[in-house]
Amino acid sequence: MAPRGSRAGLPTVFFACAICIFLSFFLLYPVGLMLRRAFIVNGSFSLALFADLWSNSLRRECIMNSLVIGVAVTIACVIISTPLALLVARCNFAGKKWLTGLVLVPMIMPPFVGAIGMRQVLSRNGTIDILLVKLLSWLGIVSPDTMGLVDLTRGGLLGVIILETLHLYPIMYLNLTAALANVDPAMEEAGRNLGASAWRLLRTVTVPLAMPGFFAGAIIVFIWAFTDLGTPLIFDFHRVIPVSVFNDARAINENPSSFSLVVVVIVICAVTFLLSKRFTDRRTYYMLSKNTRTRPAANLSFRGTLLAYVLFGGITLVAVLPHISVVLTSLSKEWVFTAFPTQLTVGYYRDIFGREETVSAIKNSFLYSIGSTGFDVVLGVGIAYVLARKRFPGAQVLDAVAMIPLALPGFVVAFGYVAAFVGSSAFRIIDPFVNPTFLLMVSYSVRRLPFMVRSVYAGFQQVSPSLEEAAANLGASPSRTLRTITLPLVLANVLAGGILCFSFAMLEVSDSMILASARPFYPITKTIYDLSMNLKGGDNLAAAMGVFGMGLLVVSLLVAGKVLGERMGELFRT
Amino acid sequence: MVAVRLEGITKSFGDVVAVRNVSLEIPEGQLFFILGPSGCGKTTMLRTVAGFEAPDSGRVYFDGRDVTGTPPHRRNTGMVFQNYALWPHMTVFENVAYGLRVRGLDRSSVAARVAQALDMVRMPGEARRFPNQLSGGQQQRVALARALVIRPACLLLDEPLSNLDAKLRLEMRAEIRRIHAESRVTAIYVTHDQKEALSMAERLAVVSAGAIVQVGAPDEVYRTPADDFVAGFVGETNFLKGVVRAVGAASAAVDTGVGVITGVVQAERPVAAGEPCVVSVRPEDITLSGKPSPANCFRAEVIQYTFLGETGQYVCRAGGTDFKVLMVAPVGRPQSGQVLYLTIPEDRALILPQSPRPSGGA
Repeated sequence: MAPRGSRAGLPTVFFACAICIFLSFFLLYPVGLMLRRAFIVNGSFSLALFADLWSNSLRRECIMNSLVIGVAVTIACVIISTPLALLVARCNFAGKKWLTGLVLVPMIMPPFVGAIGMRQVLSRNGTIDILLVKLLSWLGIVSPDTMGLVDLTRGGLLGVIILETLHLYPIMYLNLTAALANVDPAMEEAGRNLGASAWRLLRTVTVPLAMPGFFAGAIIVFIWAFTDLGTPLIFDFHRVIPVSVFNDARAINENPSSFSLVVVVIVICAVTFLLSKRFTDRRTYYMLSKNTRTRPAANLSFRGTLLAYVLFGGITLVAVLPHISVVLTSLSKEWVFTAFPTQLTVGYYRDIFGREETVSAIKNSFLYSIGSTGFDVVLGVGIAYVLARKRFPGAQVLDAVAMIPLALPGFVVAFGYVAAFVGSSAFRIIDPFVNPTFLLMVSYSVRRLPFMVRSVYAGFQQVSPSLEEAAANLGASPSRTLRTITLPLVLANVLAGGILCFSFAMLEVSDSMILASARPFYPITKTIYDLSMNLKGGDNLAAAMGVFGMGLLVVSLLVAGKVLGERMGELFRT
Repeated sequence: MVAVRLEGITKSFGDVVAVRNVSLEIPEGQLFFILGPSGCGKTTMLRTVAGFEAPDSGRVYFDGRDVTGTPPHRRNTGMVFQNYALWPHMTVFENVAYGLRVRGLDRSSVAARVAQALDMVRMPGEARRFPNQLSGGQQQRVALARALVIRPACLLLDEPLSNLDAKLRLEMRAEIRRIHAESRVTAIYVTHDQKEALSMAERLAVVSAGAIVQVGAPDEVYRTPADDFVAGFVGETNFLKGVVRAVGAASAAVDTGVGVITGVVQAERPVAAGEPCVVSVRPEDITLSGKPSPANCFRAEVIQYTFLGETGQYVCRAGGTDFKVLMVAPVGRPQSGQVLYLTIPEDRALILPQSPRPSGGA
């Protein structure tokens, strides 16, 4: 984002300073503190904590597992979304619009909620296992009373990979589709004209030109999967970095090696992010001149269309298995050692609104989300306005700082808050272990700030400065121009960004897990986790809670989609 | 190098007929222009030759060989795209070398041919740069080199100069002519710029609404346009609507709003007495003087005079009709309201049947 526009006046400078102070205090300070605690031991620089980390085989295993999850999920997402993206970018078929909308469905539920249902499906004595035993015993290969043949979660690792993949492939798909659509058709025709075969063309022209979009998607998927806390927790799979850090957060001062672990995460994320950024920037070709033609899409024959439906339908069907299993879990009175629930009930939905802990969780989530959305609107509009319309030294720094949360996992931020604000007398008023309300709002908002800034910045860019100049020319003061011209024109973007921030906050996992310390402060997500740990009916109630959250998310995303239209996909790209 | 022949090509996109029963013959080595207003289907014709569009009916022949069903990558044409379509992820060298590598040439011949092609477009020493480091004119040259280096059967140029500024455009016109003269490749050049076509073409086709209206050498098309569309689109002209009064040998007299005008009739486009017709007179063919002359002469009032350097453009009104007149600029400035005698030489007043098409831009 290149700085442009008028020189900043005093109010702008003041406002920019306020934003900087906020970001310094709630973003740079906690991160800096963790870095210090990781590198400074007993008052002097030392790599001892990293040596400890390396010598501790459990920690090493955590790092390996997290990396495996990140890489495996990324690869799986690429494999799933590439054919879909190619099909959508290159072909026309009946019902395409409707079918492509289906691809996004899996995104409406955080994977950790899906995990509650999928435990029932994937684990030993789960649906698939039982059906398998039935099949094999019918074939006479095993005896009918065999118990537990396979565990498809592989102790959690595979379960996490499956859940994350099914949740994240739409992000990869969105980025790939956009990248392919952005390749100027003349670029391909030029290759064709010079004699390149279809395969050679794909290899030498199309794929290289689509690389930036590919990396943009891959980086989001990798960081997300690499740092997800909720899903492994539900699978009770503790040998990953986020869970390990989560378990340490309570006793933060007793085990300083968590700091080195967090720093490892920060470094891995930052390096991945910068590498991909560097690669995408260097290769982001502003097309030398505008596209002169729209891409001629091939019309699929009846068989081709059928194949497209099978492909999209099949993938979507698999991707909504978690959703189905969660809904089933929430409706089943009994679901133990059977392939499918034996008795259905709606009692758990009644319970959500009847039990004190669930009602307070819903209230808390609304409170935190509204608060964090408020922060996001003020900060996001402010930053976007300053970046889009004002020239001032340090604009690039502000831009970079506002984008840091993209590469900063939630549990890292939350852990930083615990390190920075817990137990110190100076910050007692915001100590999350006393009352996490304020810090939860702040952490939610900081995490989603890049989305908000993007959304609004895009809005400002679409509003030509000459519209503002016209108002100024007719005598409107800068603040009046802002109020009567600019803000109304970017309102849609603010609204859409706000709705997205709100819905993400409603189902945010990492910050909630780590910062919400006592039951009265639990938001929806932590309550879901808490309930799922209860033996009797906990899963079912948790699943019902998850379905309720999913409903909220769907409503907000539909509203956001209505407001933002086609541009919604842009928010999920880097 | 091949002779290109189109035979009865028709192509529709949905309900829109882009190309209507077009037949063309382009001899080997000729620089041939397809000229027409935007949206007339000329680019579609070019893309049909390249193989990017399959015609609904009709055939394309290269040297008598039917290539209608041949996919684009097997036609060995070299195309220069309107936006150049240089691949931004490849250097100039890689861009130009692409077609040679596709053809499986060994490294040293690739390097030699690329160097030769870059020399030809006067871009030596720029091989290692990326397209986005080049100016518009340089990109244009690279695009030309990339198309020429494969020694194409036929060079196809799709409005190649439309993205350049006026001065560069003039320079590149000369360059493309020079390069064509050196390579003697059959070239089909599509443009909407009549000056470009008139100044560069060996032969040209004027296209309107997907159909070919006239094919000929530039001076032929300019001097003897097939109808009022061509007359209006290629160069500037004055149109006078009228009715044919009498027909003679290769000439006719026409009743117009100004008076009776005698002019020439082309043998292939005859007119009959009593028919409506159009008289076309080029501004530079009209003479103005202080004294009347015996034939086709009308009293006219100077409405406006524009000094253009070596020439001067008058707008004169005679019999309620405004004439554009282009003359070598006189010394001193003619006054508005001044009365002069306007003469239309009989051999320069072209009598044309009225075409069903809208007439071209004046």
